[in-house]
Amino acid sequence: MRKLVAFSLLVVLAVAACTPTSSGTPSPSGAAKLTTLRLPEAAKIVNTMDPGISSGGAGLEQIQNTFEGLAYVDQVSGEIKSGQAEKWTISPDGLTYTFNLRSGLKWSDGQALKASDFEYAWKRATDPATKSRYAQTLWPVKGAEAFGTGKGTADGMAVKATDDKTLVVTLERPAPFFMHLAATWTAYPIRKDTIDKNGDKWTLTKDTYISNGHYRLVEWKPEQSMTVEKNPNYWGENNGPDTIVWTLYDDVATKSVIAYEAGEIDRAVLVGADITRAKADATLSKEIKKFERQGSQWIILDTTNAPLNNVKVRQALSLATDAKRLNEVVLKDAYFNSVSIVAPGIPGQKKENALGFDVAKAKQLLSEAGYPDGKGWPANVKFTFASGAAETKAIAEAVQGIWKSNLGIDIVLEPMEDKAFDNWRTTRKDQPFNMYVSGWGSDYEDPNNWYNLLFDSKADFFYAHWKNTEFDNLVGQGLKENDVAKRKTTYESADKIINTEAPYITVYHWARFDLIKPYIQGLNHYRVLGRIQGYLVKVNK
Amino acid sequence: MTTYVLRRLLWVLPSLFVVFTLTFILVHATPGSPWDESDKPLPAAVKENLARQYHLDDPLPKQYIDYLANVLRGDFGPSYRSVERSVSEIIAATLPVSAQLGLASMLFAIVVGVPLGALAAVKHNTWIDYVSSLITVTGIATPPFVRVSLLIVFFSLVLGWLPTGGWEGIFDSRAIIPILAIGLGPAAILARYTRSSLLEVHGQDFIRTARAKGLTETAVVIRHAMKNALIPVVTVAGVTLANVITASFFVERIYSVPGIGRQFVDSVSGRDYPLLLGIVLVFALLISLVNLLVDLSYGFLDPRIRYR
Amino acid sequence: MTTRAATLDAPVPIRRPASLWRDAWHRLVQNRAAVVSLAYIVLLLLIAVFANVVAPFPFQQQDLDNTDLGPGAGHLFGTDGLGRDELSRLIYGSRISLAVALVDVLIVLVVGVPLGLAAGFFGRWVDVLVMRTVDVLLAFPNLLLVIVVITYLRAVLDQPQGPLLGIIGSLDGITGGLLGVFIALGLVSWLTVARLVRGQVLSLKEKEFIEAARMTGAANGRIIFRHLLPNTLAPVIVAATFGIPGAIATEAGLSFLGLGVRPPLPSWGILIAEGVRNMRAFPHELLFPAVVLAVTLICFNFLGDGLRDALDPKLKVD
Repeated sequence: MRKLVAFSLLVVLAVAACTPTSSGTPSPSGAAKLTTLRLPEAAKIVNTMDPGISSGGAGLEQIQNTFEGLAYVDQVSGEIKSGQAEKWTISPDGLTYTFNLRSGLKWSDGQALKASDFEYAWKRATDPATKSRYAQTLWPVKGAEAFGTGKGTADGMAVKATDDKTLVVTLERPAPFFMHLAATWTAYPIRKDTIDKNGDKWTLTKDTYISNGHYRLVEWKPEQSMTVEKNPNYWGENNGPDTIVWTLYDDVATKSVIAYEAGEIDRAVLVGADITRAKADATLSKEIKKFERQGSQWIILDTTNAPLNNVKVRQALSLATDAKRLNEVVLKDAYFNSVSIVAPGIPGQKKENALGFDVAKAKQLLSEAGYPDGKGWPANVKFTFASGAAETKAIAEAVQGIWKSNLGIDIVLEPMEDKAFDNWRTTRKDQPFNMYVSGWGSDYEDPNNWYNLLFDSKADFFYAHWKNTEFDNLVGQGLKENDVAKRKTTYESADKIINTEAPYITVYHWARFDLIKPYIQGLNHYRVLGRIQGYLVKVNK
Repeated sequence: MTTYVLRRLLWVLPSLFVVFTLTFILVHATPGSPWDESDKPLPAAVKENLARQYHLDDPLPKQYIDYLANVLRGDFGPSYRSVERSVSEIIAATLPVSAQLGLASMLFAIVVGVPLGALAAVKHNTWIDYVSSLITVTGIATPPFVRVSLLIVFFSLVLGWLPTGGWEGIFDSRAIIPILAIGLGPAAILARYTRSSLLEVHGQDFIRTARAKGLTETAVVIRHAMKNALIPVVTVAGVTLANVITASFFVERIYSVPGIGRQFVDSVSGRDYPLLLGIVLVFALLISLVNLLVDLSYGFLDPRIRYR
Repeated sequence: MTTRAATLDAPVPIRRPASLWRDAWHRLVQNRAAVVSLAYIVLLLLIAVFANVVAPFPFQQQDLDNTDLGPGAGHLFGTDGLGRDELSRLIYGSRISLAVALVDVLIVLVVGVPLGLAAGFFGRWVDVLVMRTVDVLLAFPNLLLVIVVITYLRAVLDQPQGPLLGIIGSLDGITGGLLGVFIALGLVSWLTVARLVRGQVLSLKEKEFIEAARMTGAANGRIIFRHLLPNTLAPVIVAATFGIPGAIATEAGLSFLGLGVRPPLPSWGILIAEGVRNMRAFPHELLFPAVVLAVTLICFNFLGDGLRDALDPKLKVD
């Protein structure tokens, strides 16, 4: 029997030792050496690989590499550049956009790409029957909102292919950021015949996932990997790698580092303790790269019930929150230190408006609010969080300790299962709470995307239930203002109000913390909605 | 015997029905919908259309009856979260992977666990027994998610022998870590039960008779003791199926194995109810059948047990 | 008639149990591994009860200037990511983990064993009912039930109404939010044992000594408790000791989902789960809780083995 045990162990070890541990695609030796870029991605593609339906998240990087819109956001400078449209003209009233497509445009299967493909795609994405998760992107187009909410028709939506190479779009009202919307994946062209024929399954295979970008699909193994190759029918040059392979992980942050160190992938996502380890490691420390992402993570306070309805209490909590140490110590410097409520770089944001960190002042304010040294503080002030995210849990625990030692107050931690938390959060629209953690990243670099969309009391995106008439008026003026400098100062005044009123406490500003192999060049994340664009990357191996 | 098997098979149906009904009630009581995206809420019109598409706007009893009727026809419906694949397609793609992995892990557990336990019993209260206990208990003391993480670091990073994840079939090197990680738990359990039930039969008359006949200790263990000791072991082998399924949830996730266990976790955390109901029914069927096999094997191991 | 009355009546229930337990205790203390294990477990229980006295620091006390320290003089087992003392967290964590283990064993003994005995002994509809329930529960997505109960409970507990909810709420409060864990354990931890005991009983039922007992006219209850129960002890003890790591892992998993113990309260499961995340950067954060858990389980096993040997009625003959 002992022999049997020994034997079975031996078999396992022998199999382990003998099996070749090949990974990635072996490049055939020859004149033209093929290059492969190997990247990590989350396993659960969010919703779908259909650009008309996707709301971003996992799957967006693949969509952006395989499709191209009329224009695109340059991933280095952030400028709008011409993509499928060679040029466009805007009418003097800012309402009519006329796009002229490049000549000779083709789909990845070689068929000609026409302006009508855009018209079809835009109307399809807006049609509520399509159930696009991002349909509002196109609502500034005249008639789109009515169509999208079931009050109008497709014909009433003012997007029209006047011939094979011309697309004319009319807007409901002038929107200075419209070209950013036209560059969004929701506005990518789509092939009607493949959708008519294959329905929802069109995204699954090489033959049905017909695209028009730098790359085209080779294979998608659900929950395993996705492979794309250079699209020979793309109009422009592509000096990127010949193929890109995304390996799909359930827990990208944990697994990608291990796969990276084993040499299976070229980029890893770093969080938590792995950052500390990588910084101390002789090899890894040279491969670290930290990218800015224009976003903020906050503790969101319900400003309508006691004790947080008292502005002094909110200010005290904000002033007592040592956000610098939260990021640098608790989160291992994974992000950028808190500056103010709105992320740096947005016109209107001013770091002087922030309350900052000042324990003495915080104590003073708390005492003025009637809770000297935390005396009389209510017993059940709850900090609610989704416990699936390890970082949020760490923030909650750390803040509990920091407030206890700085202000002498106790809060109760209320962890929830992730989806139950989502549900709880959605129902906070008209129900009371105390505080929770959430964040926002720019869709486009404009104050409208922050002050109006999130904080205006009509929007109240995070349900802080905060209403300040002066703030609402200012951001309303800012939206309509055409003078750039005036617009900026208007938003700056609004910025001052929201920072002083403290409905949000900033924990950090977003970042991407990567490990990138030394033979990879040009791998970049742009700070707004940045995804890796394969054509910009060089694989020198 | 035949009537017993038939009757037991008939009992599987009501079991499945109960599982189905309870799960159905439960999923509709669970807070959170598949479309509460964490930061950007969906437009109302889109939400309404989604609800209409999946018949979530029908009254619950109607949903229940419609869904039951579809399942009886073999149609589990669409997956909420993977629009491009139906539940049946997902199960058809993932179940074979998990089945291969599960069978290999069970095999590993039996080949390692039973001999290890027998060895410990024969050398009762010696250092061999203690070391065997130590190995098996350490095996069970590390939860599956710790086990698989440690195995990956050891085999893939420290030794550099095995890939860090993925699946290319059961005969690929990528199968080794998941098999070890899933199989170690049941192996430890089998070893302990084998040891304890062997000790149990050790003092009994027929063993002493066998010894008195002059048979060697190994012959006694294998020919006489083992067979009698196998009843609890076989029972456990049935129950370890649940252990294997649970371990597969963690191991498949962490090692990126495209199996049904990983889909189960996703369907719960993503509230993909049709997928969840489909997987639960598959598990229920599997467990019922394995338990039937276990009950039948009692009769082969011990002819005195009669089936009524 | 008279002889049977004599053997079955007065002297038997009084004298034999006393000697059974005395003999058992005698045999147990002769088993060195079992004695050491028992001592360890008693010590652990004392540490858990007097955690507030024994622990060098409060479990929630943070020190952001000294995070992730390795083992050293100030902190024997080092500190975690928030600068909390690992040793103190382990000591306080033993409360939760031992409570979970205890509840698990209780459920095994109070629910699993009787149901298994009944199913095996009475057969027919009792067997069908119990065993089909086991099948159903094994396949059932228990996690969902725990999510439902806990989420609704916590929502309702904000405004407790009525005595029942008040009691449940205070139960959840006293246990630090462990109610979900107990529900999950209650649903699953007895299944293995019930099947196991049933299997044993099926085989024992047909044996000579049971037949003999039946011939003498012994009542069902007597056969079950005097003859069947002691003979199923061995697998029960193993199952009970093996259930403990499963229970502790269940607690860790549920706490991780926010359905278990409320942070910053520690449990061994939580410490291990957090340790795995940091294992490559700060191995001590996984090592200490994992080793403590392993040692504890090994001791439970050795004690279980000792108990089995000590209580085995057949070994007495030798």
